[in-house]
Amino acid sequence: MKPSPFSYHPAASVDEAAQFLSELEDAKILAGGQSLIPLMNFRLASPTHLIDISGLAELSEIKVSESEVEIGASVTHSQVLQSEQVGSALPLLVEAERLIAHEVIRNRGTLCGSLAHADPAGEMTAVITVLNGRVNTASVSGGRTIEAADLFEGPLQSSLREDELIVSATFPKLGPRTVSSFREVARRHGDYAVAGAVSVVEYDNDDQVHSARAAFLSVGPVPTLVSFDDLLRGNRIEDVGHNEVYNFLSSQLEPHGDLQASADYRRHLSAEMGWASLEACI
Amino acid sequence: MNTEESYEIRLKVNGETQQITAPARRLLSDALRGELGLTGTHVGCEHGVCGCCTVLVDGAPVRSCLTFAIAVQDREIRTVEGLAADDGELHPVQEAFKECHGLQCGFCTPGFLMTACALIEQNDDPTEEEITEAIAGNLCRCTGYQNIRAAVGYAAEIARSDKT
Ligand SMILES: Cc1cc2nc3c(=O)[nH]c(=O)nc-3n(C[C@H](O)[C@H](O)[C@H](O)COP(=O)(O)OP(=O)(O)OC[C@H]3O[C@@H](n4cnc5c(N)ncnc54)[C@H](O)[C@@H]3O)c2cc1C
Ligand code: FES
Ligand code: FES
Repeated sequence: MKPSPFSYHPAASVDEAAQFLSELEDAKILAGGQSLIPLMNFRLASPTHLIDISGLAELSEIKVSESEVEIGASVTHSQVLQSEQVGSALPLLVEAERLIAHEVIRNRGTLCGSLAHADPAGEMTAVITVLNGRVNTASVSGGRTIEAADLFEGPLQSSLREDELIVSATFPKLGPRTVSSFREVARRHGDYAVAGAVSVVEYDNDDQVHSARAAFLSVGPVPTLVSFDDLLRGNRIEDVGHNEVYNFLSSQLEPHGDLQASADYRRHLSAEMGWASLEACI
Repeated sequence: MNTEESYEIRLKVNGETQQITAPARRLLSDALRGELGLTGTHVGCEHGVCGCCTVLVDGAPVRSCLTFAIAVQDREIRTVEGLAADDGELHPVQEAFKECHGLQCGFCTPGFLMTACALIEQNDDPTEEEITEAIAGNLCRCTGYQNIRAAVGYAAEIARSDKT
């Protein structure tokens, strides 16, 4: 099908985009369009106004500081994937980007668009959750910071206000003695994952786990964060082992069933991916 | 309902700039096929999955069904019509798909050709794995993919030998 009519407003600046959002009825931001346009083609979304931020130089920066990586809202998945700066500062971002769709989608889709889209099957929603990252917003009444834990309210539902846009996303770098890993199962490379987990493990000075957590894809309305601290602290992952981790996760995760996987199968896959991502952190 | 707002949209396709008048909702795929009569770009699913609408924007493959024409004004758009030389000499990817039987019904072919063209322009000596990954976003219901993979490899070979 074809999208329904809308008026097109290329924003010349973030201020102008915020102005448009506050003045126009039923307006939406257009970034890469890789999630919004499919919805519009099927008329699942039919906004009256689209505000295009894809050309905004102001939002095209990738900034790496001592402790953080900040990705502007017009930076595409491909640009993140190809950034050597990001690759050395926070390899987890690059590892996750590789799992998102195909190059052809990544060439237009943006990292921040993935977050605004708030799909619990999206890799970046899990990454920002497990890293305790945040997004930075702008609006006519001023900007604010939304912590990852407060960003996702339901499937395709973020806590952004209607008059607010994301200007960038900030991901803390991993501390010393901290390792991360992403594992997922998809029907084909580039498809949305049936199940997946991204783990972050911090070791103490004796190479035992100090803290460990994982965020899971597609097991609930929002990315699901599980702490392994009670199970793993003071131990080695390999000593606790597959079975205990698997059983623990099976009791923690309450996925739904759909065409791709029954609830039980998805629970099994998620627990296996949880273990696989932990094991990769050994 | 109000009459729909029209926009003057400049599209630079295969090196030639043309102006069309169309609503903002005009997909690049439909602008190419409808307004510009370039029906080589095919449309299958209109949600980014099949890949037959793939064109190059500034050298990078994108889905023309997930791109509004108005959002890519003045960018360099390349379609399957822009592959062969003016004298009709086939582009290496076209030559290779022909030689290796990389197509049957041909519906998916424009998308594969543009994807392969972008790949060998970035990397004219791709590994088997790189070839498989590059075309993984394109669907073909006829060939079973093996000849397409062979064709992409052969296209790279032609491109390398053209250079020397
Ligand atoms: C075939 C296919 C496969 C895919 N596979 C995957 C996959 O495996 N994993 C995955 O994670 N994603 C996948 N995607 C989605 C892809 O990652 C999108 O690029 C991304 O989800 C959205 O980014 P975008 O820039 O295209 O946003 P758009 O489509 O432009 O926007 C999406 C939504 O976010 C809003 N929005 C965008 N930017 C902002 C902003 N700065 N501030 C406020 N609101 C904003 C829009 O208004 C809209 O509601 C796939 C898409 C396709 C078509
Ligand atoms: S028509 Fe564009 S991907 Fe299928
Ligand atoms: S040749 Fe028929 S779909 Fe590919």
